[in-house]
Amino acid sequence: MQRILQKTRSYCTVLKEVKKNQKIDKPKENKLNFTELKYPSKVPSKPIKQSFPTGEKPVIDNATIQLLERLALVNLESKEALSTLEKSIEFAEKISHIDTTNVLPLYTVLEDQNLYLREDSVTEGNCREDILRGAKVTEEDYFVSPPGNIPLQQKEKDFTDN
Amino acid sequence: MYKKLLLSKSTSRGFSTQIQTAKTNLKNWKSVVGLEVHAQLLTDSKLFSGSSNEFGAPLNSAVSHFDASIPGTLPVLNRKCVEIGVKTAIALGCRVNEVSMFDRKHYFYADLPVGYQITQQRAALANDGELTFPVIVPGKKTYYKKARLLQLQLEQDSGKSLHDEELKRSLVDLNRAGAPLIELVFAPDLETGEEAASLVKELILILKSLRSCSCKMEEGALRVDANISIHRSGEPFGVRTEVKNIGSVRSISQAITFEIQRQFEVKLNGGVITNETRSWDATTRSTVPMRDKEVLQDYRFMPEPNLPPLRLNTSATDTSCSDIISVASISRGIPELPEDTRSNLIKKYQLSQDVAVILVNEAKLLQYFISIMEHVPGIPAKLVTNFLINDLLTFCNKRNVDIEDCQLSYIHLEDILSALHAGTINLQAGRELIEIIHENPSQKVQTLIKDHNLEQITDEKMIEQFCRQAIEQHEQAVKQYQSGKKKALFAIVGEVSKLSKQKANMKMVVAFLEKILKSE
Repeated sequence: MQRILQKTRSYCTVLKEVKKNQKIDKPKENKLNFTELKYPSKVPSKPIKQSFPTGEKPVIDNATIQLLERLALVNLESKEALSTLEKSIEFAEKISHIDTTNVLPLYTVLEDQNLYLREDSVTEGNCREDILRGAKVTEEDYFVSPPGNIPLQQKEKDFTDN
Repeated sequence: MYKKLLLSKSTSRGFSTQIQTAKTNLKNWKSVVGLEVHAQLLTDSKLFSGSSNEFGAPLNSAVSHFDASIPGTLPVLNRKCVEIGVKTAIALGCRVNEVSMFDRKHYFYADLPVGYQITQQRAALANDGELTFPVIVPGKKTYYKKARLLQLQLEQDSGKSLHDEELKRSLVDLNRAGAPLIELVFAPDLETGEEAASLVKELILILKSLRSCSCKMEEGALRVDANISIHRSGEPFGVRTEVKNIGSVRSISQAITFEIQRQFEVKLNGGVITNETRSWDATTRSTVPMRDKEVLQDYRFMPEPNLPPLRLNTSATDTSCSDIISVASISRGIPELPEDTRSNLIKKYQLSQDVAVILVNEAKLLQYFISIMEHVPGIPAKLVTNFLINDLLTFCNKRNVDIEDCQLSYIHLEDILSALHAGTINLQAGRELIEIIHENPSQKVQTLIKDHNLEQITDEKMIEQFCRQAIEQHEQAVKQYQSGKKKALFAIVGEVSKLSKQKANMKMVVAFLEKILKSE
């Protein structure tokens, strides 16, 4: 365990040798002791309490709730769900108080890697049975889904025909 | 049913009068058109997976686990897609970016099973290009227009849905899901439907010569969305609508012209244009609002965490390694582009610009032209272009056949033009030969000329005889001509043509007539 940690996180090499007769399954002993690190991590060893200006409680209007329900496909009608949503917004709000001027955003930890390019050849596919097996409803090799993205007037037309 | 017919008739009549009143007031208004073009790339496999990119494969067969968004699958970028993207970007004068990145754009459609499209938003493959293209408006002089290309990006296509209205369900085929696209975002630099159609026509020529895209709009390989707004001149741009589902070059012009007119009528009646997506209905020739996107959609863009940045070698050195493509080496492989072809034609054969534009638009005609110029020594370029454009192309348009499907082969054409050039037949006989050969392509031109008795009459005595006969029959025209009305000669020439069964050499006829009439 210790070795794996040392390998993957080279910046937190532990100074003290781990005693051989120490019991490994003791969780407390296994934890990294941050005060004994050779190269201290930029991550603070102890949680720092920061006070962010607490803004007013977020107010979410009905239209926004409806939009969120549609986008996230989550039911927000109950009081509990709504308060969870409010708390989440309050929690995430803190991030907007952090000063990020002149700091480039980190999109991926692989940003110094080059994107691997594959040769253009057909190597997959022709597995329709596999693909369709996961679908509840199928029809002549098609997936079947509820309708969507149809021109608006079609509905009106149906109405007048009836 | 009858009632319906009546109704549609009366509405259409009402509409046409509206157009007329509207046109007089349109002068103070300006229309602004911007295009977004999606082009499917000509590759064997898809953008991020190894399944086939072939059109028309059996239902749901060209689908990999990744395309069906089975958990645990990851995207792997196709090298050829990057190469085609870079090639197209260079041909359109873009700045190719050394580093570009992929993003997720969220949609909730059944034909996009993973719930997002991988595209490029923050850092695209290329930016800031431009496209200059000739605009052909019937009855007006051809002019050149320039449109800025804001962005060129790589992205995935979605699957296809068939809407079953009766059973209220959609049938989904994922064969197209994950197919490689480039999206070209043009600045709103255009004004009319004709300009938009001309831009797309030029783009098709370029993409075809680069072998980037098949450009078969009927297969959906090239799709055009148009953003349209109108505003009073001097005022800021109006609210725009987006027209999707435009299926042919001709529809582009029609859809945009319709939408400009519709917006103008809304404004004229005191209405407000709303930002909406409309769909072009080719059968009713009108734009219809689409149910989706009533609310401004929130695409929730986010960086694609599974793909590190795409890097290109943009320096002059052309060292390509396995994962870094050299832009310089790709730019060296770019073929002659349509605009170069046009200027070369104009320079080499002294063609007019309009003729060069028509030849380059019709690949087959251009091929015929160049071969004939090479194989028939001394033939004037004008004789060839006139015959190809005024006679062959007109014949194909009249018969509504594609020039590719015309039964006339190159050999036929070369023989006809050689005969025309040598004076064995006249133009009228040439036209007749096109019709005869289209019905009966197995015969040789030389035998057809003999069999149908199409040889031009160049015998002076015979022509003189025809001329004297015509003069006798047209005393009136003779008098008019002799009193200075030169145009009156055409009536007599026409008569000679008729008498000779359209086989007389017209040059000789005109010369003879002038000689006879002057001496009298």
